[in-house]
Amino acid sequence: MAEILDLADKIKRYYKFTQSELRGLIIAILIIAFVFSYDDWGPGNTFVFSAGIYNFFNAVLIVALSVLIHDAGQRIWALAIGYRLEFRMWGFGLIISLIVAFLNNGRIPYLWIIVPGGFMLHHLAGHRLGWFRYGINYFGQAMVALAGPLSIFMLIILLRVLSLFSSNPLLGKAIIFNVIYMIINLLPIPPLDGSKIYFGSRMLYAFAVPAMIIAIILVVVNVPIFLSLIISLLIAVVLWLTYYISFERNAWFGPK
Amino acid sequence: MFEFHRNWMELFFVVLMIVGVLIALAAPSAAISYVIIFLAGIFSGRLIYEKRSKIQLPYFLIIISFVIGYLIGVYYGSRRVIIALFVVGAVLGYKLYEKGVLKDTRF
Repeated sequence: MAEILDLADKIKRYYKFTQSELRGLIIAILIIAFVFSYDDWGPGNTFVFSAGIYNFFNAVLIVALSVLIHDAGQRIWALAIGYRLEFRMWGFGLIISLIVAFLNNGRIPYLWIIVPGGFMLHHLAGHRLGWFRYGINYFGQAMVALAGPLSIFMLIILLRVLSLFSSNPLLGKAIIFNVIYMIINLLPIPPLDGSKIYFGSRMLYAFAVPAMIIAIILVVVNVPIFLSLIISLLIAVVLWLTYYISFERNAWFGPK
Repeated sequence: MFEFHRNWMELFFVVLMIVGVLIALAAPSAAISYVIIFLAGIFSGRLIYEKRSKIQLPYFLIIISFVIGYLIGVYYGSRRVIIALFVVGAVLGYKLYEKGVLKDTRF
């Protein structure tokens, strides 16, 4: 109970966005929403402004929900282990995603490069007292990074459950968007979450990434949620052991 | 056998040339070709600024390979304008980084 009260107090005190974070989040959300709604500015090659604005507005809502939930997962987990998270927009990544959208021009569906940015951790000195590794460390950073895709994963499951009760096409679009967002974020390219997980712990990466990707693919293709979680965990354990036996064990102990 | 640490420049030379050809072929209009090569110039300016006090030749060759690939693949627009925009972008990128207008975000 004390931990929950402590976390609630930390959230009250430190869960704030700075001016630069807000600016970065707004720019990132608008650019990603534009990329997401790029093919929806009218039917075929015709340009219809009113339809485009309507779809862009819907895209802003979906992107804002996803990016903020991703950020919230990481921010709360960071606070729970005594760090404060700062969101940083990735300008070059957003430019690349715009270029890819223009080049693709709707030819390949769902080719969205969704890379809003990365994060930086600040050490909350008083709140880390008593922790085994007191300073900021790679494993802690990996755990915080993993919280982002995990929260997106839970959002996808929630949207999938909602889509059973409602036939709103926006739910389908939101699910596809979040699947691509999660998978791209798990790539080991700095400053994406995948790179932080990979450099924090290769074994964690070898387990978490296949588990989440397989689970999400199974959920999207209508396998029952509980069953898809079990199957993905089993496959991930097998892949994790294969990775350990074929590579990691030799990397730890060196060549014979 | 291919040794990456000895031959990385040649590898990136070929890969970036192919990437350049593919990007140029995918560009749907001259305006977008120009915008892309200008942005590629700014990226190159940043790379040259990053490596200003280190060995630069491999990076120059890799950048040139991208431009060659882009020039081979470009369908819309003038090749002279593309070279000019790339050089302008590279100089602009370098100067903007030097003056601190553009900064790298450290994550």
